[in-house]
Amino acid sequence: MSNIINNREEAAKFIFRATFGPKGSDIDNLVAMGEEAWFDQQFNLEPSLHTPLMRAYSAASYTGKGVEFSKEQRYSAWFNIGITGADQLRQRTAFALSQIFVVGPAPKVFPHYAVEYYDILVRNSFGNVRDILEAITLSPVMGKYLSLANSKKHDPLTNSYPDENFARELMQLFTLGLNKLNMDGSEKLDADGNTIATYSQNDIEELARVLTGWRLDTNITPMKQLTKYHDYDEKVVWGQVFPAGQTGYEDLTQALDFLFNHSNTAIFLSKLLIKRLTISNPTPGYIRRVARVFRDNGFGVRGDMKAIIKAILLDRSLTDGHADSGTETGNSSKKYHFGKAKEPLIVLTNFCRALDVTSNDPSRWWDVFMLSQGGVGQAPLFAESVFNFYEPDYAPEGEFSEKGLTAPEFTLFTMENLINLSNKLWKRIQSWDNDKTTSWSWNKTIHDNAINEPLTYIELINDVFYGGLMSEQLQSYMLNMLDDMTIRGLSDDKKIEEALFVVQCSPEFRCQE
Amino acid sequence: MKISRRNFIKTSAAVSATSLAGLSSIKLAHAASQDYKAMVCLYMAGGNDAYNMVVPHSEQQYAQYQGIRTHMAIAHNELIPLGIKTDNAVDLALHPAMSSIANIIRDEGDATVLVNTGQLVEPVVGKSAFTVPDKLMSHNSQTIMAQTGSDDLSSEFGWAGRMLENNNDFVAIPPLMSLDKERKWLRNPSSIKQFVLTSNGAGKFFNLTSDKLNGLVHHMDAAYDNIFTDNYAKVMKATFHKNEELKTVLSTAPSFDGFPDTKLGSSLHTVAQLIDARNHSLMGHKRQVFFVNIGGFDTHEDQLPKHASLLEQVSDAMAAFYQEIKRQGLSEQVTTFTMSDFGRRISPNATGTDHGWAGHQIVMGGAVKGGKAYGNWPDLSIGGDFDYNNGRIKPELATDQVNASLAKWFGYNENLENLFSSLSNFQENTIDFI
Repeated sequence: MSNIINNREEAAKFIFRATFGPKGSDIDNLVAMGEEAWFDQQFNLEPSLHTPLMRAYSAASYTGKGVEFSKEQRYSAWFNIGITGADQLRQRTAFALSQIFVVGPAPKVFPHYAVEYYDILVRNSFGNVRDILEAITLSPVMGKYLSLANSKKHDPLTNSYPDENFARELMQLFTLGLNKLNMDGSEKLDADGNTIATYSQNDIEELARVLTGWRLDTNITPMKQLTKYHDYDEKVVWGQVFPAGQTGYEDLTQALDFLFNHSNTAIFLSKLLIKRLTISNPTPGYIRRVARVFRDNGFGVRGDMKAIIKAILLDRSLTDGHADSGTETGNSSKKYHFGKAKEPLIVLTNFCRALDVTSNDPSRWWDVFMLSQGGVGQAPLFAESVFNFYEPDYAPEGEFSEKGLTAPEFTLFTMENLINLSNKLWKRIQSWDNDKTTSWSWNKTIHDNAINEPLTYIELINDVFYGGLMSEQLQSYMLNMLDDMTIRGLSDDKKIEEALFVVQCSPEFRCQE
Repeated sequence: MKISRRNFIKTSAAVSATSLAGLSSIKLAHAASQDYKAMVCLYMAGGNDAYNMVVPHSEQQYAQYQGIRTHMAIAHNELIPLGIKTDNAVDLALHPAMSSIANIIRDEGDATVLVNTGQLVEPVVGKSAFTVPDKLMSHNSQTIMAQTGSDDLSSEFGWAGRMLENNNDFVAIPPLMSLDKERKWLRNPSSIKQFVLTSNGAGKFFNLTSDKLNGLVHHMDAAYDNIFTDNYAKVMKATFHKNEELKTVLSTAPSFDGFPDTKLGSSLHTVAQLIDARNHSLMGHKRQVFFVNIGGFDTHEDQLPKHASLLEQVSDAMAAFYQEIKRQGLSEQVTTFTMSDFGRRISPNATGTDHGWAGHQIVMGGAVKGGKAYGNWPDLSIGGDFDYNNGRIKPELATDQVNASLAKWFGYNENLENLFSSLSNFQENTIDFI
């Protein structure tokens, strides 16, 4: 079987998409083993779970007073696993899923419960979408976040109605989307040229009835039915009868089976996953090919995550460098539109993996990385609403909008976030000699050994941070800069720090092909 | 790709940031023009439960509200009477958490309530068959509609941006400002792009030594052959320069007292500073439009405490802003109004409320014709004339009419139907509240 990833350049691009960035010999390993063996290896690694690590950090720091579990501990576990974990593909997939099946900050969603939700996604990243849908629906964290927990059937005495929050977003954001889609991801139109809604307000009300009766059992195990709150009368959703007398679980099963098997779900979720992992403007063909694998992995199984992930990462439009042309025509525009901007957390983890950052005290939480110096607009499970950090179809004002193309991550590129992100990375660069136990550091020996020979050093920079994809223009600039600093008699440490600053804020590091 | 010294294009490493030099030497211009107006949109994200923000004080209407709202109703004796009546003579009261703004409505007459407004593409009350706006009750769709016009969901541009697209009265900082994220409301087809800034003003790059600055500037001006890298560079450039300009402008503006220590308080404080600094030589604004945001209004559960806290933040920040604008002598020239995705259903959930349709809005400023409310108080009964379904209330005043009234006040003198295509379906384009 011939490889799809058959050179170092393709391997570098692949590693940026499938992991939290190249580290050490990641790229060479992929080239040597081929993508099939690489996938097999990744699929078979033990999952790195976040909960035990977060609890270990808590145990090492908690003095018996104050807050036992903090979101900083949860973030620390996330960064540790993202930066050092071997199961990179699983973790990157889980992170993508956390931005589709969104849970964000909410009262009563404490960090040591939220981390359990994240682990549902980690465990199921290589599983089946149907199982993911059920697990997130019954998660007590989701139950609290979208208020499915304690949703009761209509009570004529108090005129109280079932909560529609989860029912609505389950359809709008987790499965169907607002409008009916063609297989290539475009919207279906009726005879008058209008989009066709996938569900009605009445469907939302009826589905809310179907989903009544769930309540927390514990804060970490699936919710259970409280029969007196479940609506046992007949419901009709999407024209489907939910017969009277079905239990809460039977009703749930019928609803999730319907949604999972709906033609929109395969297309809608495929497109979202593509946008999280590879490029912002997939071609219609790319979406169609992935959606087809979603519907059937080749062995009659629908929703097989392993097959979907492979279809997304190995699609020929990626190796060809083709994106949707938007309203522009021509092959060259497709190449010009290829790629995506990296979200802030990916920029951070890419950079930390390249530096091989470690904790000065592995038994404790790592740092106040996320909170120090202000936010970057993003933290795991911390979107401002169930609509995630950005909407998948967001088109920034200007060229993207004019060309009918999307760049969701640009939502986060506000003045505040860009300044804070740059500052955070600058702190990382400077932390090479930081010996505080609560901080991170990195070993700069390979940089020290190369800095006196600028060309060798730039080769190192190119290899470590860009996977060999650094542009000639940027290399030229850096060479001039280092020469200039040498003439001015600046120290090696200074040269390394300033060069790394230029790396971190370079558009080609902040975006990916 | 590996490089060698031979194939380099030699460029000067010392790219100077000349465009930044001289900023500090810019002085305030002294052109205090009377022709000045500002509009502030205070967006309550998530769908504000307006029917608990403004409650009927009249007994009959209160009893109906209480009967349907049941355990989600605000007790009558906790309400703050506003001393204003709707067009159909219903006395209005305010949520108890909003005491700070109540006297601006009641005593100063500089704010009022627009009753039962919402997204409409045509009148719906009293009709059995009607067209409703697309994707009613979906958060993101209705948030966009509020910015584009109810019948213009797919428009690339927003009504505030289009209102100012021919206004070139500014120097470096454009007069369309979002203290949130980039917003469609401010987009327009001209070259006047919106300015996105943070709630607390300018930021600071750590240790921006000359070498690092050169690196940054190099990235901003380099040529890219990809839409993402190219636009990233443009965003960085705009961000960096605008931040420097903003720092310069804000360094001339005093810090004002009385603003609450909340994100919204901080946002409106920055707005007050930018209004104060409108004649700065980097601004030169005769018109200013601001977007500020407060989230958390999607109160499906635990509504009573959550909503009270949010309304208190809104009220306190608005009241502080009102006092500061009055102190600046600009009451007549600055109008603030609330907007939200939608109102919430009157029939409650177990501990919250669900998505509805109509709501109410508060408008504030000396130009507002206070002393009365605008619009009719609706019959809230289930199955009644205003019931869209099971307690989701049909709006009578269109959001587009409200916004068209604001645009007209602001000086938009072209056909309002250019901004809001649905207006042709209504008898009146505007409402006489301003």
